[in-house]
Amino acid sequence: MTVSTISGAVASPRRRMPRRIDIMSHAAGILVALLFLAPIAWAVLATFKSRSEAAQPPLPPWPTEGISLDNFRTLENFGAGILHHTLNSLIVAIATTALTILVSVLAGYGFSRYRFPLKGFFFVLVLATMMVPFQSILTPLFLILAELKLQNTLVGLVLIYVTLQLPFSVFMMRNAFDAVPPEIAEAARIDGVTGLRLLIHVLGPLVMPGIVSVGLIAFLNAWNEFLAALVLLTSQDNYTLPVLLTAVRAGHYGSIDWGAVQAGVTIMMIPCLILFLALQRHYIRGLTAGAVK
Amino acid sequence: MTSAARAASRGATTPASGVVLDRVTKRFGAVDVLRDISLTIADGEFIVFVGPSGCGKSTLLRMIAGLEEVSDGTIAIGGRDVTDAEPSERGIAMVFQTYALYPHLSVRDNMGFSLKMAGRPRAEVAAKVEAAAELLHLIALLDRRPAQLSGGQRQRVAIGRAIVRDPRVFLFDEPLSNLDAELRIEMRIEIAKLHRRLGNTMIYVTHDQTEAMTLADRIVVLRGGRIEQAGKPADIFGDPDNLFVAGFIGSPKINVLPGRFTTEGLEIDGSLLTGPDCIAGQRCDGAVSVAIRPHLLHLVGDSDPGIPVKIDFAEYLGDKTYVHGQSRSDHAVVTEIASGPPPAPGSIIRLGSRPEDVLLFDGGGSRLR
Ligand SMILES: Nc1ncnc2c1ncn2[C@@H]1O[C@H](COP(=O)(O)OP(=O)(O)OP(=O)(O)O)[C@@H](O)[C@H]1O
Ligand SMILES: [Mg+2]
Repeated sequence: MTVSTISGAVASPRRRMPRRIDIMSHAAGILVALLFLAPIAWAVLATFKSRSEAAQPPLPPWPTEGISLDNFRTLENFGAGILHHTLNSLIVAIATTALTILVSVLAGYGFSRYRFPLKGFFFVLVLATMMVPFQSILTPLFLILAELKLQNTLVGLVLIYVTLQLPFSVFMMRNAFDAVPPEIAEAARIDGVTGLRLLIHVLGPLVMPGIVSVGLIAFLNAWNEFLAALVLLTSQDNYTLPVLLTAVRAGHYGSIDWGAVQAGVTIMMIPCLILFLALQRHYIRGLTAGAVK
Repeated sequence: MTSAARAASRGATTPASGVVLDRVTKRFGAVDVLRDISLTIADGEFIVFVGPSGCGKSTLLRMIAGLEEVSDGTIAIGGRDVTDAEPSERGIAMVFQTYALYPHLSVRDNMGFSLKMAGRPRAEVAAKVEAAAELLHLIALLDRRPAQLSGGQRQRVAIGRAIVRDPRVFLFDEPLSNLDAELRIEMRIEIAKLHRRLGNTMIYVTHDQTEAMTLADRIVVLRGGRIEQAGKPADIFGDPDNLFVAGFIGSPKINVLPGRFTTEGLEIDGSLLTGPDCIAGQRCDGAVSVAIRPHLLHLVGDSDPGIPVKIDFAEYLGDKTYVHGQSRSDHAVVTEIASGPPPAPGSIIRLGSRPEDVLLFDGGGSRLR
């Protein structure tokens, strides 16, 4: 065997091996991505079918009788108009997100950095509320809101969503604050920054991935929530999108208007997609890297 | 004794402008971590706290910083009682072992953070940051994030952040222990230069005795929450107050052998050693511990006073050789040979010393002077 064949035999697999693995992992990745994307594409394509075609068995998935905006028109003419209900949903989701972040950041900060009597007990108490299925407290919640004159209002719905969202969010935020090395807060204290200023200028930016996660989860949950909205909102004007979609579903003569449902689903997906794409940087990257050795 | 009197007795200069610890005690629950620590640190002095792990060095430093509450006693900085003052009001700056940089801020913003938060004009902040960066060769790194720096650079930024605050007292808690050996030596020299240049009081915690010896104007040796000895490096090394200090400082460790005074003089394992004379009533009765630094033992002839040592092995270090052996009573003995071939393992050599190099300690470990 000559030297060149040896080096060739050794060098070429070394150069080729990662490439083959590369191709395989890409292929696998694409396959999985397709699996996830297929139903979404299906739904989006179905929205452009005419009403009659949408009621047919959905093969092929794309419109064959020409592109039609029938389904969006149905949505537009239903209730107070799709825009109005989208706005309802946005108001509820954004307000829920904002309030959840505000409360959970402050509570997580307190639980993480301050010492007070019965701290452990209160924390467990907050967590314990996660064990209660919220459907079981829907009636008392409804009664409380009625007492507050908040039944059938978006504000009432927001309050309920925030309540349901908080235990998990407080837990997340406490963990996020706990993960910040105590020396950083001590350094800030020596630099004369304590309390709320410490939270805003030092710890806040460091727990940003936690805040983003909490906010994202709150937004999605509020955006998609159905049961509480159905029970609580009695006038059609206040319907959020999930409730609207069940109302719109009923087509003529008891049949289901699939086209309209798919159109609604497509519209509901848009904000979620935008949020994920815009924020992926934040919840993937841990900001504390490099803080301490 | 008042703190002023104590300061005078230690020969400190103007105590009003330094750091004065007066009977400082720290309790965590029922445990006394520090007991009755009294110490006067002169303005501009470089003080190093050393001691074994868990002896309370960091706790003491953090109490001076104001990060840890004082259970008892008082702390004054610059003549002002700061026992209950916030850290930011004490005129101190601290450099942490883990650097504790703000990860979301650039080097520039890290260094200028305290001034910016204090609402100082932007131009002033920029000027001070530039000056400190110049001093620490950080100009090129000002726009980087901490994550984009090496360990040594991060440590320099941490020091820069301290300098920008223009503190009366710098506090360092094992600032170099996360660096590799070479960088540690480099940074040690930089810190020494910095001290000479700035002239501030510096209090430095380490368990590296080389750092302690090279940096300190005065070393404070702590053990179990008490000060064992405070003094100049040369005094700590050459004139230790007790056996613990003698053993803690110096590498290789000081040789300690049991001895006693007989009518003929100091005797170890039945062999005479030229040592200090006996002082009647103090050390002539009973056993003593005899301690001699390895480099102060030398080979002696058969007729000279000296102790026989059986050789175990030798460590060749280039410029010198450490020879390890055992005395007749099986106590480890180390000596240093500057040149020549080391004695063969198993052979027996005789080691002697000059009388002034022999340190004597009583049964409780206190120095007999
Ligand atoms: N928050 C605390 N609660 C209870 N005990 C503590 C606390 N902090 C420190 N201690 C105890 O106080 C003692 C001194 O701790 P300290 O950190 O000051 O030691 P050290 O001399 O700095 O040690 P090292 O060289 O390992 O850093 C230790 O015994 C430690 O267990
Ligand atoms: Mg320590």
